[in-house]
Amino acid sequence: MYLEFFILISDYFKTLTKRIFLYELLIPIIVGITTYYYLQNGLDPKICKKFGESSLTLLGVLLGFSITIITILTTGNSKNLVLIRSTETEYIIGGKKITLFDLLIINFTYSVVIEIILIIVLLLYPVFISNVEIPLLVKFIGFSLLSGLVIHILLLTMRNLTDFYLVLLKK
Amino acid sequence: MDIKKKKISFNYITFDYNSDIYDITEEVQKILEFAAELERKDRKLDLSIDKFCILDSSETINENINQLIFKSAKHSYRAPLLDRQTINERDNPKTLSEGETKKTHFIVKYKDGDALLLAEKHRGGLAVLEFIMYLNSFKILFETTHGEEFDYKFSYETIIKDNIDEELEKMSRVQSTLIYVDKQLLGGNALNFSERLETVQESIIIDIRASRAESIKETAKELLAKFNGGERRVNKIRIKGKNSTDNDVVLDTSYIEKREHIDAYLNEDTGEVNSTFFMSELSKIAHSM
Repeated sequence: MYLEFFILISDYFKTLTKRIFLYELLIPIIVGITTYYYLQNGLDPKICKKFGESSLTLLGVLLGFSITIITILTTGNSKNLVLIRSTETEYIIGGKKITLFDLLIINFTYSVVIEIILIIVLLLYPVFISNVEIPLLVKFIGFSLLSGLVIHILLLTMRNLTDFYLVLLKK
Repeated sequence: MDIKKKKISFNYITFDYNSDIYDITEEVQKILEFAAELERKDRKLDLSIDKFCILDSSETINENINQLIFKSAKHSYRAPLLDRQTINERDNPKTLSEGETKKTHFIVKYKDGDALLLAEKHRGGLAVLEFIMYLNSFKILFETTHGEEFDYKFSYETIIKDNIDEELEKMSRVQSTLIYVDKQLLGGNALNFSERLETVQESIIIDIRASRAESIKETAKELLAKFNGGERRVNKIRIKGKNSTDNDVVLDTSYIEKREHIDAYLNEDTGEVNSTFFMSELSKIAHSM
């Protein structure tokens, strides 16, 4: 079975610093836990359904956007986009220091993969729950995880966009 | 032409007190400019009962480097001359107020709020302490001439560049440790690439000071070990304290690689150092800092 996308996920985690962890992982974890708490305390299921539908639309847009940026990064030949291919970072993957270009590609591609996974889950979820009896606790955990991941993707997109902006901005 | 290896010392010109009020680079430049503009005979200073010196020449390069040549001489001694070849003695033609000229080369470099002094180590020439005496003396003359008063006194700290670990061990007290950290501490890779933080100074300085009469020697040793261990973000460490003879010393890791010898060409007739060549070599070292 094709599982090579786990390499990409692993590369993303290899480039995490403490600051990024706090921003991109801890905040979504807090959101997920908070969502679970509210679910346990009687959150209206209609809100969850609405959230799921909105997320699907949002993720579709973000997916297109991320792929566009990847295209620009890989095909662009402006001075800065060429320069990042030789600018080294402190991260080491595969025994070598990766460049700023590699770092941006890892982050954008990782966001594409997670967006696709979330889209698959959101598309299949309604089909699944109408045919299989799932315990409430599992539903709660699943939804909390989903909300956390959506926030994670949004924060990652914000960081990716900011980094892209800073790269283009260099004089 | 004969060549002789000349050692150079690295020092900081500092204030004895009130260093927060005055700018060392401004004050040193001011006093040196004042002295250089005086008539030649007014630039003389008696260092002791039998030694005097004079600022012979001063040249400013690139606005932040002063090339200085001092001439000094010991007088009041005119014993007869003894010839090595013939073993004959003859009367010394010099007068009691004359002495053999000893040329000493200095460079003052102003950088990042510091006045760095590179001094030729020359036995019989002008020592760094005597250079500081000269500055203090002409500062007083400046005050008298201009009717101004400045509440400071020049001093200096010798930078020890060899065997920093051993020297730190020997220090009786460590008063402060400055850690110069790469500004990349502030941002990620894209931010650093964009150079948006260019206005932030090149290094972020973390200043760790001992409380009164205390020593932070153990802290300094740990930080030095981190630096020697290749801690990526630390550019350099400057440790100030007292050595076993209670003198102010500075251990600065950025000077470890700096060469401290210059091959000086000597004049065949007089044995004096060729100033042009020596100064250009000294300037190269200064520029590399």
